[in-house]
Amino acid sequence: MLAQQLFNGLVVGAVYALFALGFNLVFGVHKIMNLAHGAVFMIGAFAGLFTVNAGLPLWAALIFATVCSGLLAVVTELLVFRPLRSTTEAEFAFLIGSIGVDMILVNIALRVSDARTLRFPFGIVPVEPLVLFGLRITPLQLIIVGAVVFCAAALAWYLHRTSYGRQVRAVSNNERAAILLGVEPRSVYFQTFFISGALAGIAGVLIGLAFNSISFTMGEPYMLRGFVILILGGLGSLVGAVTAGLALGMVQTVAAVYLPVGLSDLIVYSLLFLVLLVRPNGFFGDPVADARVARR
Amino acid sequence: MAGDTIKLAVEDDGSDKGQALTLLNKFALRDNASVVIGPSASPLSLSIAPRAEELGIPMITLAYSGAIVENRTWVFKSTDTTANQFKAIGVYTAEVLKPKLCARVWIRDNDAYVQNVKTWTDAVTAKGIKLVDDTSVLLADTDFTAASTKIVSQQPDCIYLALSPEGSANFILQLRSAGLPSTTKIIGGTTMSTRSFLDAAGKAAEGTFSLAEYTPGGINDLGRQFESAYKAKFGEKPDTFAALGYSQMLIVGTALKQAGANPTRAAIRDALGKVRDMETVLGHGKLSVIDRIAHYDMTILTVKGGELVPAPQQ
Amino acid sequence: MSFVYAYQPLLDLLLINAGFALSQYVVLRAGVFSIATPGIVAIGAYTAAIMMARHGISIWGAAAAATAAGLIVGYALSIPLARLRGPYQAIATLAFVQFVIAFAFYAEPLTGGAPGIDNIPKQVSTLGLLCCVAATVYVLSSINQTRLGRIFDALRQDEAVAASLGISIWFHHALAFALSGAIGGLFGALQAGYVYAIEPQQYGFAMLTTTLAAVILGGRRSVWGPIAGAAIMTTLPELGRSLADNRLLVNGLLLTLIIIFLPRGLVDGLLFMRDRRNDRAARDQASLKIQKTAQP
Repeated sequence: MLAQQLFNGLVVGAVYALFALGFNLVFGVHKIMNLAHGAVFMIGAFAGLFTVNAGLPLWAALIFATVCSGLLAVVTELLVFRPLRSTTEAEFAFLIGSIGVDMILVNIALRVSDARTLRFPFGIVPVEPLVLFGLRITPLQLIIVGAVVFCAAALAWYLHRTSYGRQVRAVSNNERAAILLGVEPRSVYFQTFFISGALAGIAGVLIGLAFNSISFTMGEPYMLRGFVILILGGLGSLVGAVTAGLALGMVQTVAAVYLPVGLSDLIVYSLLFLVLLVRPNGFFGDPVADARVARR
Repeated sequence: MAGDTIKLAVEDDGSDKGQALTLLNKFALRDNASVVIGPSASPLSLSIAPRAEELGIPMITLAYSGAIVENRTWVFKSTDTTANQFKAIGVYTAEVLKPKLCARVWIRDNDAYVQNVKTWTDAVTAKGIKLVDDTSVLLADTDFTAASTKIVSQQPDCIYLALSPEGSANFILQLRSAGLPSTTKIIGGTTMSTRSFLDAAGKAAEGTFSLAEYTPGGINDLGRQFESAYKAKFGEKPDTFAALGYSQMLIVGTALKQAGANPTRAAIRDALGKVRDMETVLGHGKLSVIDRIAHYDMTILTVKGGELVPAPQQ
Repeated sequence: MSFVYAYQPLLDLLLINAGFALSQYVVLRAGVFSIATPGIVAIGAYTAAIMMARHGISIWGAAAAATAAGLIVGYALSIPLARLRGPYQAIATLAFVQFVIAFAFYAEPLTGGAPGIDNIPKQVSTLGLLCCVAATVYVLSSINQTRLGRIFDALRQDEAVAASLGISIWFHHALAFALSGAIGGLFGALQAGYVYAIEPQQYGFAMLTTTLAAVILGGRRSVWGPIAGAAIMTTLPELGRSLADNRLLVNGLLLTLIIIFLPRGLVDGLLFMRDRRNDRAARDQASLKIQKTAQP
């Protein structure tokens, strides 16, 4: 049973990683802690559901959700984060602004769904599990793992092999220098936010499928896990986000099975606190990067 | 009614204790309400019942927790105690279904579910049925992969679920995904006899057993009238909660009729306490209010061909 | 008169929310990016609830114990958080809040687990709440008028400068944490003694965002800021059905608009505009005088 549980945990962890990748990308590049990320994730799920209910196949729903969430994130950046960039205490302002956006989006979803939990219709994904290496693997689990691997690889290729990605990394390193070198910051903003939102949207549809429920509150627990992954994996490190996401998924699942109920949450949050104290840049982050460690 | 007009004001408490308290005070003090109907959730009802008691206004709630009416005089509950209700499904499990090993899953952050599973357990263990390791979840949980894999590996021949309608459906689907054999009997309480459960579970609901306060289609003339009126107004068939709400209003109506013209709050309170053998849409058709709690019999249902029908051998 | 009585509970809620906002305000004013308030409120509430519901201790003793507990926990938090700044501090305090909630869920024999503690005797009156809020306001405004207040301002605006002036950053941060903790613990106890029943979920994300929103709305500098913010957030839903149904949307919109257009908050923003007008008037007066004397 342990192997099966670990596999289940891996799949869940893959979605956490997808969620965290988008969150981490924005934090790494713009130093913006976007608390609306969970809401974008949730809206992605709704967008996918809407598409499927309109009669379109699953792949169309995924594409629609991706584009929708991506654009939503871009709009958030334009309307809320852009005006706040030049203010004093910008980091604090970003956080507050993102909380406001989160509340607005959650309320809209609440009204649209009438506070009910919705679900994808039956049969869009075949249910019969395959048995490989003694493990039961459902087609949906395969889709999830496939989607995450594809997205992570695509993101890595984009950041390290294309000129757009180079610009993003330049801005992440030092925005002013990048601008002096001719990088157009607005296109970088657009790209990073779009990608971040798109990843969240895909994650939303996958989770909505995996756990048969789409509700206006579904973003919150993922937001919390997103923080844990962000810190454990290290700010700005995409490898860290994926590794920490997978690890968290597995640890959480195994803990739920073998430990008394409620203990796993305690452990996860204490671990987060501890890591912040001892190694605030996480396990994969740059040790000399600005962890905002201050003087006495 | 008796020459007076009844005015009904409806407001949403937004599942917030502060809101509920404000509304109670508003209705009782500013609007001079004679009777407060609601809230429908136990935590909220627990929070505002003391205040209703303080204000001396009759309050009748659908919520399940018995603690709401304990040691009070003005607060009434239009649902039966979980002890009475879930005993029926426990006895049915033990005497008719006769499993050897059972697993149970319940929601631990809501007292109704906790009491529900406890009552079922008492009835079942009294007949010598063994239980495997417990699995408890939170109301908001949706990820049951770990729990369902664990239960499947323990190979019980029956599983009892004390979860919300969507939660039950979700859990069953994940159990099937984890390889639960179709011979395992899946039993639930009142949440699994709801339309939302059937919709959410689809084919996986087939053959499950549940407890109901209301038999779909109605078991008497009043029930059938209620069904057609509800369908005409809302465009869908009523579920248990609709029937409970209807029954609650029947109780209030009966009490108002009994209390006569221009009744005081005390008169309404007394009348509520005296409701006996009232005809209702619930259970087998009769309801009495004893010690401020409504009592009626329960029915056991099973899912056949996607519809809820009375279970065999009740 | 009955109008007043009908709305008295609203006033009580306003006062309790104002207390929470004041606790959050203290740390933000001193430049500490802590959102630990709901966690400390929870600790105060559970301490008081256990004492009142299980051991029959009166609200006086329970509130005192809760205040002390809050103070100690606040102080204790400042130690590990001394090395962190900005979003990292925020995440660490978020982890703390989640840890407290997880603990409340897990330690069932002590905290009642998921269903929480009920049957708490209601011993808190409007008068009591008014006194507590008034006392807190008195203490905080006194601080604002002394050197300590100016030190907090300096720390909030530019830590490096403050340090170069010989101000011990750690000591003052610890002071802010301890004070915020004491206030949070006190009002947690007061709330427990008012709502008859407490459970872990009420101290989560929702309380975090509303408390933070109240402080941002009202302002972080003047002590009346958080009170004005709490007043707005408590009473606004009462003004209309559609406002009440869309509470999150209204609050979110307010929060976003305020942080973009009036980042100082309502109270501080108005005060600032008034001061600027006065300054300008004084300047115009002075230049008029100079012109007059320069004439002959």
